[in-house]
Amino acid sequence: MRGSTIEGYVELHCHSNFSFLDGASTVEELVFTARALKMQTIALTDHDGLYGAPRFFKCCKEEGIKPIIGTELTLKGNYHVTLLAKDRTGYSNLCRLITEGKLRGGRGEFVLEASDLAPFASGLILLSGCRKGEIPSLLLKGEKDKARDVAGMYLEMFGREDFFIELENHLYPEDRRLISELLSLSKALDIKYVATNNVHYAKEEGYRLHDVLLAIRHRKKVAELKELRLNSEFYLKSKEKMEALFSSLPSALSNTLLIASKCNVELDFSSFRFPRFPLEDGQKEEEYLKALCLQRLKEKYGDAGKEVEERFLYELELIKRFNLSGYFLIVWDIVEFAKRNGIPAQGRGSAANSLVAYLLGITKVDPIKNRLFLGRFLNEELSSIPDIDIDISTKERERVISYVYERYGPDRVAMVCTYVTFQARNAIREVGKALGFQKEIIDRMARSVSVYSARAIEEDLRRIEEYKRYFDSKIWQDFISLCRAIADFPRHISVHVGGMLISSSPLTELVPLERAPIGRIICQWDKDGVEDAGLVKVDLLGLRMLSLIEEARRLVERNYGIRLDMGEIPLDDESVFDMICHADTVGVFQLESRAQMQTLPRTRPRSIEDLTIQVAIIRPGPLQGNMVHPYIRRRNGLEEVTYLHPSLRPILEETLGVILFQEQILQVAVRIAGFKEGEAECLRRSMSRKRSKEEIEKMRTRFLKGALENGIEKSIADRIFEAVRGFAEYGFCKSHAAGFALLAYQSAWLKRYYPLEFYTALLNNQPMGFYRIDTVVNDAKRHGIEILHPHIGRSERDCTIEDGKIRLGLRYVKNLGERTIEKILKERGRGPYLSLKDFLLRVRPERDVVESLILAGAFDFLSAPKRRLLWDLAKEIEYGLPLSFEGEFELPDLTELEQVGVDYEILGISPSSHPLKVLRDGLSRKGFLKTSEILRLSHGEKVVFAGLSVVSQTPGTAKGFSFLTLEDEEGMINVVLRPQIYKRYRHVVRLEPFLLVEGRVERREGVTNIMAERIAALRIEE
Amino acid sequence: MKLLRRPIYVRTDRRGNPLSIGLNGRFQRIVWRGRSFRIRGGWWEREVFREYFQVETEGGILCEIYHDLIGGRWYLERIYD
Repeated sequence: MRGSTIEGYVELHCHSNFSFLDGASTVEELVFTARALKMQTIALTDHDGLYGAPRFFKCCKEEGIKPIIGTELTLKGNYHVTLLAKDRTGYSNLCRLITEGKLRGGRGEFVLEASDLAPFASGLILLSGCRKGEIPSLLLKGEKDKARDVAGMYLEMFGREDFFIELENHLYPEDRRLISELLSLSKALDIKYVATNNVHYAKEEGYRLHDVLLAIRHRKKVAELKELRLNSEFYLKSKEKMEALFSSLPSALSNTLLIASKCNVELDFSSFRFPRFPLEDGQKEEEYLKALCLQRLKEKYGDAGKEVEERFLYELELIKRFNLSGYFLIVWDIVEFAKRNGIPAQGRGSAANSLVAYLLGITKVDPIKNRLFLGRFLNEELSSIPDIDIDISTKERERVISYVYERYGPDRVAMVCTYVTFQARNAIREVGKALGFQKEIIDRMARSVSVYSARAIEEDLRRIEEYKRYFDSKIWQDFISLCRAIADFPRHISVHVGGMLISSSPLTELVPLERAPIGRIICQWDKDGVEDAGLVKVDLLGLRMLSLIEEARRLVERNYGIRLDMGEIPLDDESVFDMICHADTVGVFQLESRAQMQTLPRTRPRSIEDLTIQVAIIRPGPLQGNMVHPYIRRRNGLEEVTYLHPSLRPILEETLGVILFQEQILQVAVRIAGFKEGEAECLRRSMSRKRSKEEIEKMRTRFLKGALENGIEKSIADRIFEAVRGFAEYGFCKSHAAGFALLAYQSAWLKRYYPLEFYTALLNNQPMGFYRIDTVVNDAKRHGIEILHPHIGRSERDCTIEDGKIRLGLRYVKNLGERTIEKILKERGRGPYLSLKDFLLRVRPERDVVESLILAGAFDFLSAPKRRLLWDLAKEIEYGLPLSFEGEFELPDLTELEQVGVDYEILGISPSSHPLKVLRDGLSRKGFLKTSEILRLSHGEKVVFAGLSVVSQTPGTAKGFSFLTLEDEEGMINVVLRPQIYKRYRHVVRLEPFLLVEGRVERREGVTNIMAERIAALRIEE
Repeated sequence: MKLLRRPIYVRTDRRGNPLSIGLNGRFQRIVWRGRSFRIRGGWWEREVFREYFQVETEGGILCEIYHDLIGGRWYLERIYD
């Protein structure tokens, strides 16, 4: 039967890659393909979730397509059904259903029955599901009556208008029969039917990636997978193709249009955006906020003067206008809780631009004194929703998060999620495994790759001889293109570091919730999704440096009885800056990285303002690595300080005419081209997001026009625009830098004046910072701090201070778990351990625990060589012989080299020695120099050096140059590898811990490097 | 039933559906079409992409034929006795 002309077709059943390890296309690919196929509407129906909804919604709107929001639910018996939201009520019901299924189940499970749908049916359309739906499954098994019952049940729940039998034709052997039976059913019960294609990839070629995703999900090789689909028909098909498949059933297609016309949901949550702060009846948020601030205004500024007062009132006005009072109060309340409970917390990022935030104590940086620009954070156009991030001492972060859940109720608070995505390493591993590659080859490849993105794998690995020959074979080409295709795909959901959604109405009306691996309730959107949906969040981030500073502070109080308030220390101590300028900054916040250490002796910061700039200039970007940053050149007088136009002077004076801060970009756009603040912020954001050429041109035109109106010559305006564009991508937020600069100074001050407490806290808050723990320990030793081996009688779990030295804690000993440590300490509380036997009897530890403790030196107080103790242990445990067995024998003590080796193995550090020190005699004889000797050489002199590899970096922007930091017993030295040298010795550099370097000394502006010519591994033999 | 995989000649309509097949020296018209389906896979080794048709000819022969969608040829997969 040739039916009437089909006007169109809408795909109502589509999976994006947010159907984890199943959907093989991005949301954008689906939408773009729909548009190319001239579809005016498309639905997104990922499994048990609305993960991609905000992104899908936004993309559709941009492409002029109507989005339909839906999901494919997995019901009891593993049956699938498709649900589509008609209106807001339906959308909320969708969220509630998904949440119900997710929270009922354990981790990763979804538990929902068909009958659970009934109370949430309003506003939803139900399609009977794909081949895995209950009705088709029953029909395929021949159970027609049961199928009929199920259909009847859904008909009852959803009504004739909102329940459709779903028909699919993927050219499977049983499809014709199934369709025929489904039609009979629909006729018998007078239910309408509709065609879908259960899309899992936008284009037909996507079927290979889909196969690989399934293989990854089932942890099998694709060649062994029984669950593969039979063919490649699950792509987004055109109206014509669907017509051909359903030629005798025109209403199957026209009903897609019917359904589409019923679905109209807007994903605009701006009315829910701003949570309300609980106040007593009658009190208004704006008034409460104002009163709080006025109090502090007087405290902090005294008789403030006009500028401050005007700024304050202006900010309050903006806050009131955009209904943000509640938000500020909520954040204030969290910070107050932290303060009350002695938990270090400070606001970071652009929020520090706000005077109100400073007055409320949310941020610690004075925006007036530091000349911070409000527009970056809050402006008249509200170009972006202000985001306040709070850094909290890592150890106490959980407490603060719990407080928020209690305060607002678990149904109004949820953590924002994050997606673990496929990047170079895991893509190589998982795609390689799916394709059946040998494990050893994959492992080595994964460890050799030096790029982050899975898109750049081919380019990167082609540089290695070993892999070149593979790449011309077909299977490897497939492998590479699959890795490229899977790049950035979400693999599974995880908790975001600290983003929290706080809402004034139950969150399940807005977004589905589920349980994260650690038990926290999270929402299904990540920070981009939250932003796209117009919701506001607070980021509670753990910052270990805050824990460190707090711990050091407490140790100082305890040891010296001084009350130390980090807010009161003088910010202009010369000796602290001296230390920083000498790059003696291991452990110092933000200033310890290799790149920082290379730059500090050249920029020589001497104030907090200088540190603010210092934090900002060492960033990933085009300028890192070759260190020819114009700011540095100007600071050292190698370049004149000039301004492209005199009106730029007040804005760029503090950074010597160079644009460094995001705030400066805004100020330039405002001053030069007459932009409004909100417009300027948009300009900055879009330039830092790599917009298209057309968009940049549009902005340039606007900028030039405004500049011309301000009487600025076109060629100059053009150059200013280029300068802005050049720095926009890498500009740093000044208020963020200022907040960090303060912490950097505080940590440096502690290192300078209380090194013992500083290093103790640094060891106790690992892992953190730029360096491995043995580098930290070596730095401590170089500062005259002695580190003592663990002692079974004196060590606590963490490191402690003992007679002016640092006693290593038990947690550093390999094989010692938390419970064992607890047991040891508890038992010791009843009386000291008198002997090895005493310890064994009282604690009854595992053998490897005691061996580790012996080797770590914990029993050295018994004055027996370690080998002897191990012998005694073996006898005691293995043979049950009494320890008093007296044999006349001597077991030699460990040699220094053996001791160092054992220390590294058991503790990860060498408290008493350094591997290079032990080898020094032999090395010196062969002409290898020590760090101190190298520093005495002149520029250009030849040198050979041996060291432990501490850092190895190949910044992508450094044009193939690579940088190494090597350490000997005296200090650290930087080694620079030109691109050909790196290429030649890449494997040695990446895989060997001890290296020999031959090269020439390079000395420039107070910084000494070795320019490498040859590199070899140092093999340690006795 | 015999499994054959024998190349054959097939005449099709515009849509690619078989109309007659060359068997026993002459073209026999297809009078009945049963199930048809498509398979695609094995791309990691050697891709297989075929469309299968269950047909009965005017001569009463019930068989399964397939169209190799990569090479373009038609094959007789099996004859049902």
